[in-house]
Amino acid sequence: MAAANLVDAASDSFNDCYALWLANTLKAKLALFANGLLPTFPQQQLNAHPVSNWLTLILVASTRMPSSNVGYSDFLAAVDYMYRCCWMTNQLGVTQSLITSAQAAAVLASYNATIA
Amino acid sequence: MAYPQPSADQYAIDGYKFFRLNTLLASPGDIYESGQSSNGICIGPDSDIANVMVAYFDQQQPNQMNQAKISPSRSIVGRLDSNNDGSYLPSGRPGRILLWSGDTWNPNFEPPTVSDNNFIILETPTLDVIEYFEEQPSLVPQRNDKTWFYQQLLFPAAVSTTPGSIIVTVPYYGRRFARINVFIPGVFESVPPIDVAVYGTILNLGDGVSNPTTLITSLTDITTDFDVPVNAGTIESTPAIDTPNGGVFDLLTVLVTAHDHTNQPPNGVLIRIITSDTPCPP
Repeated sequence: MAAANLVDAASDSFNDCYALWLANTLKAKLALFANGLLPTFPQQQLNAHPVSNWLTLILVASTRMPSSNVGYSDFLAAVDYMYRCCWMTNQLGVTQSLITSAQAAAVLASYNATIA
Repeated sequence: MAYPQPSADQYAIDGYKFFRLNTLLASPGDIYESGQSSNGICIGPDSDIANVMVAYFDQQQPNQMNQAKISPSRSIVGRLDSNNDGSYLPSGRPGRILLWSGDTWNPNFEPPTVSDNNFIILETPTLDVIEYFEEQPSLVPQRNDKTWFYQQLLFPAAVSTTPGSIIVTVPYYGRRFARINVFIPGVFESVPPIDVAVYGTILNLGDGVSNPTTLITSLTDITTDFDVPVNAGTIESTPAIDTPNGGVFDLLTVLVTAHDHTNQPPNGVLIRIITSDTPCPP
């Protein structure tokens, strides 16, 4: 189910990733989520680094996973990164306005399109 | 300290021997970076967070990234590379050192309650990490004991027959011992009684609803017939929580309820919580 905001997305990340994990689509969906967002958070934008750092970690986790039968600890690590990525984006984009609202909205949209 | 974070580069330029992150968590997703290579990373003395994840550049690893966890029992001594010319794969982002809490935090945590008539305090954890630029022979990552002191917390007024409750939740990540004192200040002919309960909670990656929690101890109707000396006016409830197996809970919650809604302590209570990495002596 689509999340209404980034905090809800963070709260839903376990259940949403769990469904992907059972369907053996977690690896692909994580890569889709992160690759689609990276251009939105350019390296030149210093305040965007926390979000792009999480995207980097999500991509590392994704590439290290097998395509199927992902171990539970790897699944939980992915959930952890997704949870934190959503919270970080919320902090920077909604609470502090250090990134643009469009950037924050892009993360939510990508989450709802690929993970939820 | 909120974002934007301080620059490790500037610390190095200014001749500092280390870069210290000492900050309340702004969010559960806080992640920090350092463009400076390190010769040692350890938990700082004032950290509530017990476990910190470190990612660093390692060109022999897949994705050119390696990771480690540091804690009060284990730091990293030796060179950890931050490679601003190298890139983590497949993102292509520079190979800086990344630091984030390995413990789960949720600012929307809902503590256990006995009613809806509550005064709630939820303390935000502090992340304290030190990155040394110079070689270190060893690192002792011990944390200070931490005291949470609330001089006077007033009970919410009773609502109908529902007494007021005071709920204090503090970080307990990795701690092995806590001592809790609850005092009723004031001089009374008969001391207004209170109920005290203590809970430990393990946070999950969810919405922060208090589920599940573990009841550590529960003391009810404390000192209903306690005649206080002139200067004291105190009731001490001193459960000592000993978790020798270490760091069982993420958060510690003390719940104090007025036992009699018609006779709530007018000056509230004083609460002191001391947490330590040192187990309680036998």
